[in-house]
Formats: sequence, C-alpha cells, structure tokens
Amino acid sequence: MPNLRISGLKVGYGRATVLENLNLAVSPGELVTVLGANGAGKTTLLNGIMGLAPPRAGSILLEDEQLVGLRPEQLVARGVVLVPERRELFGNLTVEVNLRLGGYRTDASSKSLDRIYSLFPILAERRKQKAATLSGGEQQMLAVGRALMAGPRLLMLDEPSIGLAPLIVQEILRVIGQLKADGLTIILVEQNARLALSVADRGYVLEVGKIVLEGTSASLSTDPRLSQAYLGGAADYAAARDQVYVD
Amino acid sequence: MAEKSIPSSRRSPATASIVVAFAMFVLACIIAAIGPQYDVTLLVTVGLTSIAAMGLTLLLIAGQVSLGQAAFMAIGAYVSAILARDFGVPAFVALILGVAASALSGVIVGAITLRLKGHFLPLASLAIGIATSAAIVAAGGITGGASGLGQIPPLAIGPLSLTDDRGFAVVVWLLVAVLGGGLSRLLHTRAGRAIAALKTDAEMAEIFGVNAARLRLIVFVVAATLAGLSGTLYAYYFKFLSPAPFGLTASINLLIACIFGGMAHPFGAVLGAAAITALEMLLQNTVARMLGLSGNVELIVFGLVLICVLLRWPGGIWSALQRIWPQFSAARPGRNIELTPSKRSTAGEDLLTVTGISKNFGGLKALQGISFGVGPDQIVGLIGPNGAGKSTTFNIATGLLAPSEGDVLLMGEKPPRRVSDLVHRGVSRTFQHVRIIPERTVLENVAFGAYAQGHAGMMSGMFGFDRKEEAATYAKAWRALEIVELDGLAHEPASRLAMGQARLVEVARALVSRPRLLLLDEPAAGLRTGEKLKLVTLLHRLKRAGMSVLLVEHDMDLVMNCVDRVVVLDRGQGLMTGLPEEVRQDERVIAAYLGA
Amino acid sequence: MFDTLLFLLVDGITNGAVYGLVALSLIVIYTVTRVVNIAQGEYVTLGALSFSSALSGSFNLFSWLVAGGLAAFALLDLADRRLLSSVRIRILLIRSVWIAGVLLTAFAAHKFPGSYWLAVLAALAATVSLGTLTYRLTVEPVSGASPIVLLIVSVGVYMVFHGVAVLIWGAEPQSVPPVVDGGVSLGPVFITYQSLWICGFAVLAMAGLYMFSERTLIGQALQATAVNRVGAQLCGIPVRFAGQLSFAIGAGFSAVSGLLLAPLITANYDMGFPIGLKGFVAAALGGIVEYPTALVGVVLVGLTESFSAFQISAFRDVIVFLMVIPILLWRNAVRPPEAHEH
Repeated sequence: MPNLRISGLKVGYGRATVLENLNLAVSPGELVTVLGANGAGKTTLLNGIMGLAPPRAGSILLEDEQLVGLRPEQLVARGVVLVPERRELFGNLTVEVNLRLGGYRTDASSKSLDRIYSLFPILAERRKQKAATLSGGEQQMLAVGRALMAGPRLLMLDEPSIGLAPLIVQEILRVIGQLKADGLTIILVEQNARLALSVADRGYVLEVGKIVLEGTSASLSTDPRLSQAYLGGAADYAAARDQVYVD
Repeated sequence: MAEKSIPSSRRSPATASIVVAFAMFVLACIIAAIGPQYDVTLLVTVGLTSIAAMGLTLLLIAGQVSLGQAAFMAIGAYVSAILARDFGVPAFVALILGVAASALSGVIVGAITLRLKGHFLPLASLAIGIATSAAIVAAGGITGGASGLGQIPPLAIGPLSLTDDRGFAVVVWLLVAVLGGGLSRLLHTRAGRAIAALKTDAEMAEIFGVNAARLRLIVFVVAATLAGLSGTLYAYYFKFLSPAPFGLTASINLLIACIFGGMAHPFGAVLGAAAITALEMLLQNTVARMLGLSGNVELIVFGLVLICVLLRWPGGIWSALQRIWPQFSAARPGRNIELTPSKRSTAGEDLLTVTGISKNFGGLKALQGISFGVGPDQIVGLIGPNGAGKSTTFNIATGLLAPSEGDVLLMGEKPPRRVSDLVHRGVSRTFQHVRIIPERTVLENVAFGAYAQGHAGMMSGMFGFDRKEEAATYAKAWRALEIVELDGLAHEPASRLAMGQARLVEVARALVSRPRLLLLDEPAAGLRTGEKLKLVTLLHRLKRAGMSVLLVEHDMDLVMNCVDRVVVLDRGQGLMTGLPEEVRQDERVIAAYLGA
Repeated sequence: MFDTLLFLLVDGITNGAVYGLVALSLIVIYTVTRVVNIAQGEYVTLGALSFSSALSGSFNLFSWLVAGGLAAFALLDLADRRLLSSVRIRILLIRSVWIAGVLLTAFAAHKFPGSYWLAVLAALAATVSLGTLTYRLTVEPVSGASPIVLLIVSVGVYMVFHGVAVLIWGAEPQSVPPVVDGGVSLGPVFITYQSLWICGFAVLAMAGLYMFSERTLIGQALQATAVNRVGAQLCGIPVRFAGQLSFAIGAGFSAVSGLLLAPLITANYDMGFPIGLKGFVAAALGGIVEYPTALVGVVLVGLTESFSAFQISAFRDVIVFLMVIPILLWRNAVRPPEAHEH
C-alpha cells in the first residue's frame, strides 16, 4: 500500500519556478484533493510527481522509494498513474486499443478490460469506435479507464470534471468513490471545490505555488479561508483601489 | 572593474558596432596589403561568405531557416557573369543587375513559400536550392553546365577597373564592415525589435502594428539580396563559375557558419564564416594530407560540428562574446511625459460592443449569444470558470476569430480586416501566456509597443537616421515602466523575469501603444498578493487617465474590486451581466464557481 | 509509341516502389520522433554499399564502426546510476547479443563470400543498428526540440554518413548482382526480375508494417507515440524505445530498397541522396504523416520522373524536386504542420 511523502519539492518550466518548497503526504487508501485557483500550480504538482516536469529540488518518496529522477514510463511501471487534464487520448485509435495501451506495462489481460467495461458500460458499447469520436464525458471515462488498466497503486486525476455536464460529473464521481472504496490511493486536483471535498478525506489548498491551507474535508468545507484563497479574496483590494482616489 | 569607468554613452552597441566594423576593415586592409596572395584569396572568401551569412543570420533572427540560400548566390553570380561576358553589359551594371535578379527571385520565392509553416519552409528552400543547382547543370547552353563558365571580365566602373586582387579584398571588406555595422545597429531599432518580435510570436507582433507577412518578405528579400551580392562578387573575383560552389553543400555550410556564429548577431556570422573557412583550410591542408584521406573529411567534420553545436552549444560563438559586448541601454528622459490614450473618448460612445455572438468549432458550440459592451472610462470584467468561453470571446472581440453569428463593433466600426490595424484603432492587449521577446531587455520589449507610432525603416535603422524617433520611443518606454513600477529592471533580459513581472511588462508594452481600450487576458494569474494589489491600483490609475479596460480574470475578488461591470460566462453562455455587488450575491455565479 | 509508354510505366513503377519504401521510412520516423530525416537517403546508399562488400567477402569497417558505436551507447546507458541491477544485467545482455549479432553476421558473410542472403543479413544488421544509434546520439538528447532543429541536426547526420561512405568505399561505383538474373518479356517490354523483386518487397513491407502496427501491442504503441507523445508516456510506453524502433524500421526499409535497386543503377556513395529527396517529395503529399496519400505521391513522383526523363531529360531532377513546392503549399493550406509540440 502506498504512502506518498513529498518534501521540499521545487518544480518549474524554463526559467520560471512554479512550485517551491512544497510538502504533502498521502496515506494508504486515502483520497486527497488539491484545490486552488487557476495558475496556483496544481497541474504542475502532478506533472512534477509524474516526471513530466522534472523536479528541481526536493524528494518524492513512495514507500521509501525515491521517485524524483524517474521517467514517466518508469513511474507507470511502479504504479504511479496520471489522468491528465487534457486527457491525452489516442484519437485515431479505437477505444479498446486505447485501453489495451493503458495496460502496456502490465500485459493487461482481458479480465482487466472487462473490469473497465463494467465500471463504464458505455465504453463497452463504443469499443470499436475511434477515441476522437467520443463525447467529452465518454473521453473522460476512457481516460480514467486507460489509467486503471495500468494497475495503479497511486492514481492522480487532474480536473476530471472540466467542461462536463453535471450528470456526467456525477457519473465520474461515482466511479472515483468506488475506486476509493476498493482501497485505491487517489490524489484529486479540482477546480470545483465543493465537488472535490464531497468525496475527499483531506484537502490541500494551493496559492501561487504554496500550500496555504490544509485539513480534513469537513473542516475545509466550513473554513471561510477556503473561498477566500480559492477566489483570491485574501487581499485588501478595496484599499488598493481607493488609494488612487485619495488625492 | 576598469570597464565601469567608461561612460555608458560610449559603451552602447551602436558605438561598439562602428568600432568593430572599423577595426575589421583595418585588419582586412592590413592583411590585404602585406599578406601573401593565398591569404588574400582566403580573405576574400571569408568576406564573401560573411556577406551571405549576415543575410541568413537576419533571416534566422526573424525565426526562419533557409537551406537553399546558395541558390540566390548562384542567381546573382550567373546573371551578372553572363550579362557581362556574353552580352557586353558593363561590369558594374551587370553587378547591379545580378544583385537585382537575386532580390527579385527573393521576392518571388518568398511570396510563394513564406506562407509555409513550421518545417515546411526549410524543406521548400532545400528543394529550391537543389533544383537551382540542377537547373544550372541542365541549362548547359547558357551557363556552361557542369564544366563551368570562364573568362568573366573584371569588375569596373567606367575606366576604373578592379583587376588587383588586393584591391578587391579591400572593397569586399568595406562592404562587410558597412553591412555588419549597419545590421548590428539595426537590431536595436524599431525594425530590429519588430524582427525579433516576429520570431517570438507573429500574432503578438501584429497586435502592435507589424504587418508580419510583409516584414517576413522584406527580411527574406534582404537575405536573398545579400546572398546575391556575395555571389556576384564571387564571379568577378574568381572570373570562373561552376555549379559546385552553389550546391547543397554551400547552402549547408552557410547555415553552419550562422549556427556556429550564434544565429543572433551579424558579427557572429562574420566570425562563424571565418571559423568555418579556417577549419576547412586546416582540414584540407593538414589533416587530410597527414592521414592521406580524400576530400570528404571536411564533410564529416562539418557534419559533426553542426550536430555538436546544435546539441551542446546552441548559443554559438556569439553567446561567448555577448558578455563583453555592451548591453543595450537608453537614457532615461529628464522630464516626465504623459502616456494618455491617443484620443479621448466622447461620452456615451461605446468602445467595444458585442451583440449576440456565437462561435462553433466543428460541432462544438463554444459560445452562444453573448452580448455586452465596454463604455468610456469603464473597466469591465469578463469572468467564468475554466472552459466557459472567455478566451474565445476575447479573441472574437479583437478580431482574431470571426464569430459564427453576431456582430462586434470596435470604436463603432467593424474590427479591422488585418490584426495589425487594430492598434491604429486604439486597441491593445496582453496575453494569457506571456509573449515577450526573451533575448531582449525589458526596456526594449516595452519600446516595441510603440511600433505603430514610428516610421523609421530598415535603412534609417542601419545608418542611424532614426535618433529622434528612438529617443521619443524610449522616453515613452521608460515612462510606462515607471507606471508599472518596473523601471528598476529596465536593463534585465526579459527571460529572467518572474511570471508576475513578465505580465506587468506586457501591460507596460500595451500602454506604450497608447490605447483607448486595453484588453487584459488573465493579468493576475501567477501573481503574488502584493503584485495583485499593485495591479488593482494600476488599473484604476489607467481608468482615471481615460482608458477603458476589458479584463478577463479568474481571481473573482480582484475583479469585484476593480470593475464597473461584470459579465459572467458559463459553458459558452452568458450567465449574467451586472454590477459587482449584484454578481457577488448571485447564487448561480457562486454555484458555477465553487460547484453546485 | 505504346512500347515507350509501357516502358516508361514499368520504369516509373519500379522507381516509385523504391521511393515508396523511402517515403514509408520517412513517415514512420517523422510521426514517432518529429524528425524530418534528411539523412534517409543515406541508408539507401549504406545498405547497397555494405551489401556489396559483404557479398564480396571483405569484412568491412562499417560493421566494426556500428558495433563500436553500439558498445559505446551501451556503456552510456549503463552509466545511469539509478538503474536497478536487474535492469542493468538485462541491458548488458541485450546489448551484447545485439553487438554479437552485427559482428557475427558480418563474419559469416566474410566466411562464405557470395552468399546472397547472408550478405543481405549482414548489411541489414549493420544499417538497422546504425538507425537506432543515430536516434540515440542525435535525437534523444534534444527530443523536446522543435522539428526545425531536429531537421537541421539530420542535415549534419547526412553529411557525416555521406563522408563516411566515401571514406570506406571510395568514390568508384561498386557492382551489385541482382537476386535472380534475367527477366520476362511483357510484349515488347523486357522487365527484369529485379524490378519485380523491388515491387514485391515494397508491397510486402507495406503490408507487414500495416499488420505490425494494427495487430501487435508494440505496433500500436508506436502509433500511439506518433499520435500523442505525452499520452504514450502516461501509458508507460517508453518513447525512447519507440523512437529507436522507428529509426530501425526506417533504416531497414531504406537499406533493403537500396540493395535491391543497386543492380539496376550501380551502387555508389551518391546514389541515396536524390532517392531520399524523391521519397520525401512523395511523403510530403501526405504531410509526412499519411501513408495512403504518400502512396499516391509515390506514383506521381515515379511517373513524373520517367516521363520527364523521356521528354526533357536534363531537367528531370529539377522538375521532380520543384514538385515539392506546390505539394507543400497545398498541404500547408489543407493541414499545416503544428509549429511546436505541446
């Protein structure tokens, strides 16, 4: 069972540093959500863990194994799997091939395929269809299904609700809940805070590359600082505005 | 630090350009005067390669790659040689006609191929280069074919005949010095900034009034002309032409000279040309003879040089010299100048009116029936969760995208057909993903914003006829930097900026273009709290100075404290429009943001 | 008149088959790695020349060079301190077998001079390995670079290959025997068996590649990498392996087309480059990404070449190379290349 421990993490692109000195821990079987406004660095955090944006400092330990410096395919082989925000499906390949490729590292049997199809029955119907022809919600299900084919120990989801109709979001949420019930460890990055806190055990709130708030879902839901940090309301803008009109 | 004691006015790149150009010329004259004949030929070769390489470097600075530059050399060389030899055209007139022929083929080739994107352009140039040298062989009746074309008359103007090789070398290096010094000065002028902006992002360049297609063509033609000049002089110096020196290898070697030189500066190109010529001589005379290998060693070594430089040393020679080359700086003006909108808006006239716009991408309905307006002295916020259609709305409002339905009016008229005319309408903007010229200083980036107000072209840039205009431009740039409180970073390279600073540089750049309507695309993303406070203060200052602002932003609280009206989008539809207080209390808005 | 037409048609199709193989190589490499491989034609040359010397029984420098390169890159890979010892042993084992393969095939061809298929094997082992080596040394270090940089790097690779070919084999043409002598008469036109072999191999190679990429997981992984590099990484597909594989396939196809074509035109250091360019012209019709459109391009190039050679022979290459301009313009208007990945 995984026990993820991130300490002193620094991630950036080019000359810009996005995350600095970030600490975060996930216990076995836990569902942890990372919240924050746009540009806070949520996606960068996941890309950093996944080796897509190699960390510049700090350590990421998964059950005492150092993950920093590993390439994405090596991480997948260790059971660290990401469902990216842009889904990154193979548009001109069929649903089934997409799923099979998800299990590239695990020599996925048809048994695991069946499991995905039972989680998302619609995918079974569309198995011979090309991924690009699916609707947004179906594509998101395929992205989650493809990630599950890799047999994850730690599953990371980047804004799975983005651009989806409420009904589809509920469907995705149901599956996430089911995966958690099965004992999977999950990191869920979400813009939709209430949604994320409704399924998560604990949460972290990021603001411009730093963690400004953390706690259990229950305590975060009622914390007024959440909506402040989330909607960016911590600053005294009124004073800044009025300053112009003083003279 | 002895160099600190030199007054800064004398350490400008423009002065340094003149000094280096002069020194180069003097050195060449000395070699031409006292060197053995062999050295003189080498000197001419380096000079000719330099002329063509400087053109190609300018092309590279503009973000284009040509793998067929030798074709233009060939056209210049053959046209002038054939005219002078077979048609009795006076040599100097033939030279002019040869260069003109290269320029004309540059216009034709450029007009056809410059619309090609990405790697298609270098591939097209490769094909044109190879086809040209194949055509020279094939058209043996006129060009002498593979066996070549001899007895080219010497270069002469009237009775003055340039038969002396040493004199020829001096003439060639005079050209190298003038062109090198001029192009070096050009880099830091209005045209030079636009060329660099073209490489960073053509769309960004157009927002500030650059006609990207036209400027690209001009740079391409300049490069072709310089290649043609180099080829013509080659013909008159060696008095013999064959297709071999204008083949694929020649084009590649030219590119290697530029890449080795650093692809950033004309003097880098000269050094690159000198370096590869020296390497070639070394290989031909020493290594190959010692090991008893045939001529292809240089091909292998050049190939390895090309690979290694690209892989390990992409900055080339120039990156090593840049440290001692003076940083560009412009004096801060003594008096304060005003940066107010170019034209005051009359009350009641909307600057931007959007009526019922929809946009479909394929089957996807990105926007449906959005309407709003931005009045004079008004800040309007456009908000909504991810994927709500804010960027699409923004791009339609600036005419980058055409709406599927509905109308957009900017200053009461339809958006201009060309993006580059937008700035003349009094509109400027910043970008969600920062688009600044990374290799230039903050000050130069901001100065680029004044492009549309200037007139100086490449010639006045090269030879310094633009001093007055440049002084005015930099005065504005300094003022804009003071307004965003970044004047302390004026001479920092833009690539070193933090995200928040870079966003403010974009605001300053937009201010320099003196817009009536300023469009800001997520200016607060990645800003720290202190910077956000500064941004709010800044926006209200601008409003007071008579500017209208359309603000796309995620930070709701910032928007609420900034704007006069808020437009809320959700999933491509207008959720509501109203005063900040109304929006703040609306249940639907809170649901859209925090989740139901 | 009809005879000439028929002759030109056969000639055009034979050439077209060779260009088709090169175009296929270019597409496999470009889609997986974003390298427009200017050096592709050199694999044609190297295939033909190394085959010629393997057949004559000389144990040539080329196989040694490739084996040495493989050893160097094995050491480079092993130097990665983060490797598990089990992985390290596996790398060591695979690379040793691989190097031994290159040297043993070369040695076998040396021991049994004149054995056609042994020579083919030796030539193929060396060129295919060279393909993977080239990827490892010149593409992998800058795999995030723009296609334009990758293209210019491949120009450098072309220069090195070209120079090395002259160093090893000299400038004189080498004679290469056909698979089977003779041919059949089709009415007034004589078709060599070699032409048939070339066309047959082209069809077989295309069918094989199609089956490989549709039916096997590795083939699908190759396609996946071509469609979406990030997505492939997130599935655990090692994109570096995919890149090496694509270069191996490309080098192999081009080398075989070279050694099959050589008997018809004689093998020399300069034979490959124009073939590579013409293959590129054909591939450009499909934007260097679509096989079916590229096949139309191949027929177009082959026939244009044959017929223009007949009409205005001197300008044959000029016309074929310039064909790429309208092709690129059309392609650019229909579907422009992505300026940059991501």
